[in-house]
Amino acid sequence: MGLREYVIRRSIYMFLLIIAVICFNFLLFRLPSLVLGVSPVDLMISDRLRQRMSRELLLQLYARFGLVPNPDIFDWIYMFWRYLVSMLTGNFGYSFATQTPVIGEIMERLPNTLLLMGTSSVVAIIIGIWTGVKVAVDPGSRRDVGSVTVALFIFALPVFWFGLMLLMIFGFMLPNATQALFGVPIGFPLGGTIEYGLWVQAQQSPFGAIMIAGDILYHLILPMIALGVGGYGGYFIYMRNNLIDVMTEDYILTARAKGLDENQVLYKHGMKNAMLPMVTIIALTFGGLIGGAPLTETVFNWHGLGRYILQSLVALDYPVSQAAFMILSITTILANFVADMLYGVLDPRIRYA
Amino acid sequence: MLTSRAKRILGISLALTFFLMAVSPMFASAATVPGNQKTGPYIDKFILKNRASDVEVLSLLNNEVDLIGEQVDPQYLPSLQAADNINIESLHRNGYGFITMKCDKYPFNITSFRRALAFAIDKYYISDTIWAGLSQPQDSCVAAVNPYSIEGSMPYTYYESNMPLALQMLIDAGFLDSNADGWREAPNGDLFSPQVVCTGSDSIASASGAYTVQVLQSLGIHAIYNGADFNQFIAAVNNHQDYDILFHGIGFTTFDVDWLGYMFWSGYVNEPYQNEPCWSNASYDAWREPLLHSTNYTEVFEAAQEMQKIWIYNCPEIIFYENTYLSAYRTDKFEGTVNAIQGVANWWTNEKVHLKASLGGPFGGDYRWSLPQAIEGFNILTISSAYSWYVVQEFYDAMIIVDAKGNDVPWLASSWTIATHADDDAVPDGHTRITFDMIQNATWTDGAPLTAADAAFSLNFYRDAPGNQFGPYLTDMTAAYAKTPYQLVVEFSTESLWHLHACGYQSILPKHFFLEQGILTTNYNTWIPVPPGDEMVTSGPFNVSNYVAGEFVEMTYNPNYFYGIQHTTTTTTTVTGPDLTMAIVAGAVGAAVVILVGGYVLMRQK
Repeated sequence: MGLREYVIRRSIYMFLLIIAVICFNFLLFRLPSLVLGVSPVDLMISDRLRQRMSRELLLQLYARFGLVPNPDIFDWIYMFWRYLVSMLTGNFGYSFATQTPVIGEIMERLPNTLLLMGTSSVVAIIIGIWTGVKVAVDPGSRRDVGSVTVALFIFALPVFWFGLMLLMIFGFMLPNATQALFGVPIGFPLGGTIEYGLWVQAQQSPFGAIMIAGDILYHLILPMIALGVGGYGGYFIYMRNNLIDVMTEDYILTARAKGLDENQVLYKHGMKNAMLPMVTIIALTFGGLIGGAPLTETVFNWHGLGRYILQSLVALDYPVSQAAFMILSITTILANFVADMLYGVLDPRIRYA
Repeated sequence: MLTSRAKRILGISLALTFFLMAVSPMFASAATVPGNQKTGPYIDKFILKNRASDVEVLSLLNNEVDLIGEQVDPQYLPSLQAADNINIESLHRNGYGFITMKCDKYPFNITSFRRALAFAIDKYYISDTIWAGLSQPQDSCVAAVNPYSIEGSMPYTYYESNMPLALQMLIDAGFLDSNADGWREAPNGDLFSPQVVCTGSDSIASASGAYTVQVLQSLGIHAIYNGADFNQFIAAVNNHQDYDILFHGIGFTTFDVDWLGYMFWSGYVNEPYQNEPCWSNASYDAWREPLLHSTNYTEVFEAAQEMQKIWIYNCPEIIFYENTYLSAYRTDKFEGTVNAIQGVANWWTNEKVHLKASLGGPFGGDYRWSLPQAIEGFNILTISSAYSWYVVQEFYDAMIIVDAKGNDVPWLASSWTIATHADDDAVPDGHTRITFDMIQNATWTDGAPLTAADAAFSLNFYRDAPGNQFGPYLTDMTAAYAKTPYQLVVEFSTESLWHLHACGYQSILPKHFFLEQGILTTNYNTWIPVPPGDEMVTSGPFNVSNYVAGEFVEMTYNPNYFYGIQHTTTTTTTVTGPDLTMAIVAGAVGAAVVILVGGYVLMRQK
C-alpha cells in the first residue's frame, strides 16, 4: 500500500473518529442532567429570582435557552438530532451565560491561548530536550541523578500552586522590596493580559500597538514560566531515556569507531535518532494547544480558552463546552495524523502499510 | 556666583519651604464635599479590573485596586489588618446559613423532631468555632438586619444547646431505642438514618453539615454525613427531590419580605424552586392574605411578625447563623465609602467616594475595583451575575432606590400616591393604582428627556418579555401608562403594599433607543451591545468609556447626570484603541523570535 492509500484510509478513520467524538460530546456534557437531574437553568437563577419563581417563568426560561424541563426519551432524541445537525453545519449556537455566539467567544480567546500555550510549550520542549541531552551523555552521574530529581520534583508540583508562588514572589514581594530599597517597584504584573493604565496611554500614542504588544509580553512571562518550567519535566525524561537507549545502539559504536568527535556522535547520530519518538509527543502537544491551561489561566487571570472551558463546565454551559471540546478533539486528531505523516519524512525506513 | 550670604539665605528658604510643605497637611481642614444625599458621583472614572480571586488581596496591597469587589475571605484578615492604608469594614449580612428538612417526609414531618434538633444545636459554637467569631446566632428566617425581623423579641431562643430538653422532646414524641441498638427509631418503629447533605467543597458548609450529624448522633439519631457534589445538591433543592436534611445559604438584596407569602406557603409545596422544606401550616398560611394583599403597613408588619413566630416555633428550617460581610479597601487616596447592606462594594460607594482634599479632592480620580470574574455583557435584561450587575446598575435609574440602610429614596420619582378603591372610586375594586410624579430634569445621554413614557415602556417591557428576571415582580400589573410627560400611572389587579417596590425599583429603559434599535420583547436576548463601540443610551451616573473583555471595564461619569455635580478638573478624551489582535500577533512574533533564537543558541552549545 502506497502513501496515497494510507492517507485515504487514515482520512476515513479520522472522519469516523470525529463522528464518534461528536456523539460522545453530546452525552458527556449532559451527564449531570442525565444522572443528577440538574439543569443549566438551576445555576442561572439568582436568590432574588428564586423568591418570585413560578412554573410559568420557569418554562419561559427553559424556552429562552432552547431547553426542555424533565426531558423524556423523545425529547433527548430530538435534542440529539438538533445538536448533530448544528455540529455538522458548524453552528455552535449561543452561550447560555452571555447569550453571544460561541464561535465568536472562542475566536476572541483563541489568540491569547495560542500565545500562552505556544510559547510555554516551546519553552518546555527546548528546556526538556536540552537538559535531557546534557544528562543522557553520562547516565547515573551525579548531574544526571540531580537533574532527574529536580525535573520530577518540578513536574510533580501543582501548576496552580507554582503559579501562585510566582505571583507572590515576582508580582508582590519583589516589587515591594525594590520599592522599599530603590524607590522603584520592579517586578511582574499580578495577572491579566494587559494593564489598564498602559492601555489608556497606548490609545493616545502613535506607537500604541507596539506598547500593547510589549505589555502583553510582559504579562506573558510569569504564566509562560509557570507552564514552561512546570511542564519541561515530561520532555526531559522522555528525551533523556530515548537518548540513553540510542547511545547503546551499534551505529553509535560504529560512529565512535570511525573516530568521530563525541559531540558529532551525540548530536548528529544520537540526538537525531532519539528525536524521532519526540515528534509524536510534540505534535500532540501542539494539537492540544487550543485547549489552553484552565488552572494557569485562572490563576493568572489570562483571558484564554482554558479558563472559558472550565467556567462553562461549572455553569453547565453546554454550547460552549461541546464546541470547545469538538474543536479540541478535531485538532488533536489532525495533529496525530500530521505526526504519522512526519514519521515517514523523518525516518525513511518507515513504510506505510 | 552667589555670595556665601546669598547661599545661606537660599538654603534656609529651601529648608523652610520643604518644612512648610511637610507640615501643611496638619493645618489643612477636611474637604467640604458639596451636595446632599443624592449628589454624586465625585470620581471621574470607575474602573473594574479582573483579578483572580486568590490575587485580589495582593492587588489591593499592591495598590493596583482601591476596593475588593466581593466579600473578603476571612483567612486574609491578618495580612490586611497589618497593612498600611487599608481599612476593613464588616456588617451583618442580609442573609444566613441554614438547614432545611423535608417536612412532607416521615419522620421529618413531626414538629417535635425538628424542634428537638433546633434546641440541641449550639449556635454559639457555630458562630465562635466554625465562623471564628464572624457570625451571630439567628432563629428567624428574616435576617436580623431587616426591620421586619423579630429576631431577639421571642420569649425563647434556640441559640444555646439544651440537650436535656431536646432529648425529652424526642422521648415524648415517641423516638425511642426500642431494639436497643444504640439508635432511636421513628415513633412507628421504623429504623431511620437521616442523611445530612451539604456541598463538600465548601469549608463552612461541610463543617456545618458535620456538626449537624454530630448533634443528631448525640441525640441518638443515626445520622449520616453526605458531602455532595454541588450539582446534585442544587437539583435536590430546586426540584423537591428526595432528601432528608440539607445545609445551604441564602442572601437578600432588599428588606422586602413578601417572599414569606411564597417561599413557605403550602400552595407551593410542589412548586419547583419554592417551599424548599415542603412545609404546610394552616396558621402560617392564614397570615398570607394580609401580608401580600393589605395596603396598610401596620397590618403587613403584623402579618410578617406573626408568620415568623409560627415559622420559628415549627422549625421547617433551622437558621444557623447570620454571618458577617467583610469588605476591604484602600484609604490613601479616597474617602467617603459607604458600607451598605451588600458591603462596601455597592452603588452608593461609587456615588459618594471622593478624592481626599490633600490630593486636590473632592472631584476627580479613578476609583478601581477588583472583580474575580469577567462580566457577562451589558444587556440588563439578560445578565444574571452580581458582577455584571455592578456595571449595568450604573446605566439606568429607577423611580425609587434603596439607601445604604435599606430605606427608600425617591429618585426619578419626586413623590407618589397609592390608591385603592377605598381611596378613589375610579380605581376598580380590588386593584391598586400607583401614581408617580417624576422629576423633570433627567435626561438620557443622547440628550433626550427621560419621561413617564420611558417608565411606562420599561414596565410593560419587563412584564411582557418572556423569561426576563424582572418580569415575575410585575405579573399582577394590568397597565402602566404616562398620564402626562412626567406623571406615570401603574395599575395592579390586586391590592398590595409590595406593588410600590415591584414597579418602583425597576430600572427605566430608553424607549426611543429600544425602538430605534428594534429591541422587542420577543428578541431582547439577541441584543448584545459591546460599548463604547456600540452606542449605549443611558441615564445613570456612569457610562462605559473603555472595555477589554476579560481585562477591565472603564466607566466615565456622566457630566449631565441629573443628581450630578460638575467636576472642576476633568479631561475626557475618546480615542480609538489599538488593534488588540494585531498587538497579540506582534507579541507572539516577538516571543517566538526570542524563544527560538534562545533555544538555537542553547542547542548549539557544545
